[in-house]
Amino acid sequence: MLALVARRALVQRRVLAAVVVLVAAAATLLGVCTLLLSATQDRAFHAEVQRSQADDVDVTAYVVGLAGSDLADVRQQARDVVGGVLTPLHPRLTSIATARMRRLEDAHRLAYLASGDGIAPEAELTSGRWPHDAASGRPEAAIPDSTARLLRLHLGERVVLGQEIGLDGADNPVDVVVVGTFRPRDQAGWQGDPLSGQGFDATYSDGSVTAPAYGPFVVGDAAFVATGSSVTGLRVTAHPTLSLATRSSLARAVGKLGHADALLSSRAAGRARITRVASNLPDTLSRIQAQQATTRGTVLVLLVLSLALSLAAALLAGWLLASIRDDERALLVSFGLSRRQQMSAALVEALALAVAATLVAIPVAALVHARLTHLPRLRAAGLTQSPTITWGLVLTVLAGAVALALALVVTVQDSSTASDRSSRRRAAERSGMGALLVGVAAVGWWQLRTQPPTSTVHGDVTLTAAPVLCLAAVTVLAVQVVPLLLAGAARVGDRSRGLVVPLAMQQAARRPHVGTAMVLIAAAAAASVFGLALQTTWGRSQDDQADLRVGTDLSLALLAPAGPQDSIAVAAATGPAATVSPVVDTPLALGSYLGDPGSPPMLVAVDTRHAGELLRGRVDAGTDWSSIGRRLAPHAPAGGIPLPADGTGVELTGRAPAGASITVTPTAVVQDASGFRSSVAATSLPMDGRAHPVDWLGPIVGGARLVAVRLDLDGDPGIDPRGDPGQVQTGEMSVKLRLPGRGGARPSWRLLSARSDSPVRDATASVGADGDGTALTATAGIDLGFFVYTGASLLATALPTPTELPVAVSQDLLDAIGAKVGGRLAASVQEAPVPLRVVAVVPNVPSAPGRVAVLLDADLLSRALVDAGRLDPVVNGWWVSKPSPGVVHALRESSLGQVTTRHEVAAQLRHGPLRATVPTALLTLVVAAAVMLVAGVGLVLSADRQRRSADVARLRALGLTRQDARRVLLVEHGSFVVPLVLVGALVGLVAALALGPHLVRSEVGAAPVPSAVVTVPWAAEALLVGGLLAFSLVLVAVLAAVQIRRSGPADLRAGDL
Amino acid sequence: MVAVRGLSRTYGNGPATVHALREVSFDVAPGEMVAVVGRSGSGKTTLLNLVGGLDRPDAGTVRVDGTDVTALDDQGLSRLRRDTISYVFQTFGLIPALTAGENVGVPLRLRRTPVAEREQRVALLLDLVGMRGHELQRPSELSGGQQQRVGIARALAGSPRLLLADEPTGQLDAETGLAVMALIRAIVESEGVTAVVATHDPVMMSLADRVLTIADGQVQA
Repeated sequence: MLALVARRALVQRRVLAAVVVLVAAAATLLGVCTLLLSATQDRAFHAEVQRSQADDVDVTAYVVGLAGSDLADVRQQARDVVGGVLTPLHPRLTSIATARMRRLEDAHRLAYLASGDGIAPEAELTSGRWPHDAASGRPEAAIPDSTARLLRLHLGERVVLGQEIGLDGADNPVDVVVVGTFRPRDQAGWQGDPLSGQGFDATYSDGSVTAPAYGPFVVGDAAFVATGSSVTGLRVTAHPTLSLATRSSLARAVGKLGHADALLSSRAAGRARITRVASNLPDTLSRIQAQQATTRGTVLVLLVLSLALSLAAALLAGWLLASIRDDERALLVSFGLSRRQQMSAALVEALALAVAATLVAIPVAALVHARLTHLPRLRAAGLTQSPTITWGLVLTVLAGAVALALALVVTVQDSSTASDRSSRRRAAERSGMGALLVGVAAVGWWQLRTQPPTSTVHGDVTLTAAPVLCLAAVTVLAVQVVPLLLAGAARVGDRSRGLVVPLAMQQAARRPHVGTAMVLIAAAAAASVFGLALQTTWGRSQDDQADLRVGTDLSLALLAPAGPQDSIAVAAATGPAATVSPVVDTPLALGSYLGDPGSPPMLVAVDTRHAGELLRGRVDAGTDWSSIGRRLAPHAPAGGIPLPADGTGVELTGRAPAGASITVTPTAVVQDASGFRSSVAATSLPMDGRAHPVDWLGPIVGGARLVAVRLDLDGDPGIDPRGDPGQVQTGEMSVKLRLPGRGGARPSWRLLSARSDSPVRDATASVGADGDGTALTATAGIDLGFFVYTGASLLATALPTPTELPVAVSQDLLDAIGAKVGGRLAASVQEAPVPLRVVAVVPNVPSAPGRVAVLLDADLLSRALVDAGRLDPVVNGWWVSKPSPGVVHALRESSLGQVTTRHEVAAQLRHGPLRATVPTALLTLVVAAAVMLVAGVGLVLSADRQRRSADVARLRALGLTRQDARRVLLVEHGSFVVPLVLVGALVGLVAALALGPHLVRSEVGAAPVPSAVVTVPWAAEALLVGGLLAFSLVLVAVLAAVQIRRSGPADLRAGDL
Repeated sequence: MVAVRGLSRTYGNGPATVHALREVSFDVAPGEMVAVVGRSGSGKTTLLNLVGGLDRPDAGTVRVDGTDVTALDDQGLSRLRRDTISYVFQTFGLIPALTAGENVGVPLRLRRTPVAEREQRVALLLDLVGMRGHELQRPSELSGGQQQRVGIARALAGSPRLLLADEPTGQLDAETGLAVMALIRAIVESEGVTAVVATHDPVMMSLADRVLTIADGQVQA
């Protein structure tokens, strides 16, 4: 029997070689997918870990409440613990010690010391130098920019930090000299800082003392210890060497992390109040694993789809091989060959073919995979690999080749039994199969639709199997249309005189045993079209997610609220041509609604006059950001009075009620040329009826305008507070702020009491010319009996403020709290009440995807906050529309904060190490499916050539010209292939429309926000389908020509097959 | 009707050279039915193929109804086969995808015969060969004899003047073969067709007007 198999193989070597090539191609595809899922994913893991931010992988020990004398030892213990967690990764260890707050010289303000080698890497030196360390002598200190600005400290100046607050605090003052200023690099490194790296907190509280706080004053380690300061916080951080990180080493580190907390606690027992070891490493590892699972899921879909196509191709090859051998088989059966012997022979042959295909497929798969990883996207993601042969590759390819080759055995078995079944039974089977397929497709689609929105680390069987089942089921059903179409065309052709078209249509319509071929050709076309549409849909979704995540083209996020210098720096970096908006991006309190844990409601405020240019992210059909922005933008511009540079020449004249000795402290709200507002305090001045020059405590940039001023009144009202409580003693006061210059148009000013419960009565403000200057005059009556206990605070403002701020709310907010358009929301921003009115609903607020959020105008928000007494800026970022590379570079160079561009985020989502495999795999699917289609067409036509050689000779003998014979074949094969490709393309499109949005997941496997929208690249699809058709038709033409050329008189005596 | 002069055909070259026909010459008169007999491999089929223009001779000429077949180009040969010559094949030669009626209609379609006329003639021919009622059956649904009857009907559809039949009963049982031979004989007489029939069958030889014996590629006296 083996001899027969060998002899037959020798005779049919061309056919068998074609089968080996087919199986090898399919096995190669499996091998490539295997490598993409294993070797590439391992490389991607490594590359992603390498790209991790320090905050993602560092392990930090926090020690709270420590005597200064214990600092050295506890710090060493903490270093041992966190270093031990990351031992295999050779961690670099840094520490930061923060001292308890000390009182500054005026006793009303607080400041604190800090030291450690962990500070400098987290900060950008903006002037001077870092302090030299010395245990003796006056300590040198570096301080944050904001601290220096607010305390008006310059390099070389001394400042005395007095006794520590709280019980048992050190009472020795510390006299330091400022030698440098710095700016925090990013928030992550300053989480342990009492002021979060902002350098200032107006309302700092440690639970017992509430006062403005400044710092840190960074001093050397030895100097810190020498001051005898109590340590409120010690932070020791281990930074791993990421180039050494492997999946197992990180997993081990996560395991050790679980015990590190207890270990540190035991080692610092009795010396520290609180100890804790924390790290984002477990979350980072989970995130990477989730991303890998998501990518793996998509690649698996493609793998299964490719496998299904390969199986169909193998079945087709099997059928064709079996049909070629029908006569031989019948002869052998007539000689007494048993079914078992047939099966044995087929099995031996199949295994031999599988081995041959495996030997070809393994090196080819390794080479193709290596080539794929050299594609620009994968190269950019750092996934380039040289040809790799792994055991996984060998086993997968071998298993795949054996499985595919065994399909040949199945067809032998099936072909020998097919004739036993009646046509009625087969029809019943087909009907049942059709119903089953409809059910399968419906269930698969429903499963995809009802996927949970959350992510999963483990593979999702639904996500993997459902699309393949749907595509296969719909294809099998759809191809049933093709014979009907051809039969209809044949019926029409039957009424014509000619031969070519009717004969061709009849041949095509009545082509025997074509089910597998039809499914293969249509499924391949469907997979190709589907893959291309899914790739575009996936890419578009990544862009959409990036749009919404960043919210604009470029986002500059500051660690601390912005100051006027920041505004100037941004203006200098962006230039006058760019559309730039200050941004407030901050948590929001919405009545009693707190939001989900870790996901509070968000407020995003921008310059909504430029919403159309600035904002990114999809909105509902029929509207756009410009129209939404118009509903949010202020109707009246902010006015104000021009201020001279540095505020020089500004005078204040105050008149207090008779007998009263009252001082006034002005705080100006100034608006720079870009519209950015900030407050500048001034020294207190007596209200003695004389003009006093105002001494501003902060810089005032040129071109600024005064838009509001708060007047804090304090002092002795000149009455006896123990007098008759029934008698109200009031007095008139006035404050005139005179600014040099006439200033042009003068808006109307309002004078408000800055507090709701206030001794101020009948307050008015007016602006008028005063000589060659402009005078802002505030007058009010004061309840002196009340004043003696509370003082008074007045706010004169030129800012027209609506009673309610118009906002656009996210759909999630609408769903969460049941708000509606036209409804009101009681909100507070940084504890200031801000009444809101809903004027629009948007799917998502830019930069707050999937969050409960509101969008409003930054100018109006500023006005409302000023009205509420919050003069300090709340702007914490800038958004820039369409920045040039130069602008991006300049903003990065300015080190103002974290610069994020939409394109970079999109690129990371599309081409990051963990993501780049997806589009590559989709591209592989498109190419592989196209190859399968061409292989299917080639197989069908090749088999047809052998089966139909006699037909052509007979038709020629009947008088058909060579040209007409070629036409018959062209029309016949063309009318078979073209509808199948078109039906397949249609199925692919339908599948893309129905399944595409459900197959796209976010980078962590959750439902993407915004939801994916099917994007069909019509031109590319048309090109693809056109290419497939053209290639198929060229193949048809070539094989038809060969068939015509090879048919001769000898074929006339051939029997009908 | 047919004039063959010095016809030679050789296959292969070198030691494997096969001289299928050597200097064969003969004539067939119009309306005559000639049986070509000889052993397998004697050159019968080669002779029919050369007469029908399906093959090219190495030497010699074939004239059919005055036309030099050997001088015709591909188009001319196709026209000749379409208008003058028709074939009956040993393996029946029906197109499997077409019904019996459609198979008979193929030569008429080649001539672009109007549909009504075509249908009428197909019905007539099927009736002539005793296959009425089988128009819609596919070849696979017919017996060998029925297929050959359909093949004969198709051969007559184009009203040929020369019928070439290559062992038309070769795959039929004796009884069916006899019926088919009688049918050919009857058609030759009724339609006035000239026929050249390659056969082994003695009965066929007895029905022929003349028997032409070929041995080793040569016509025996």
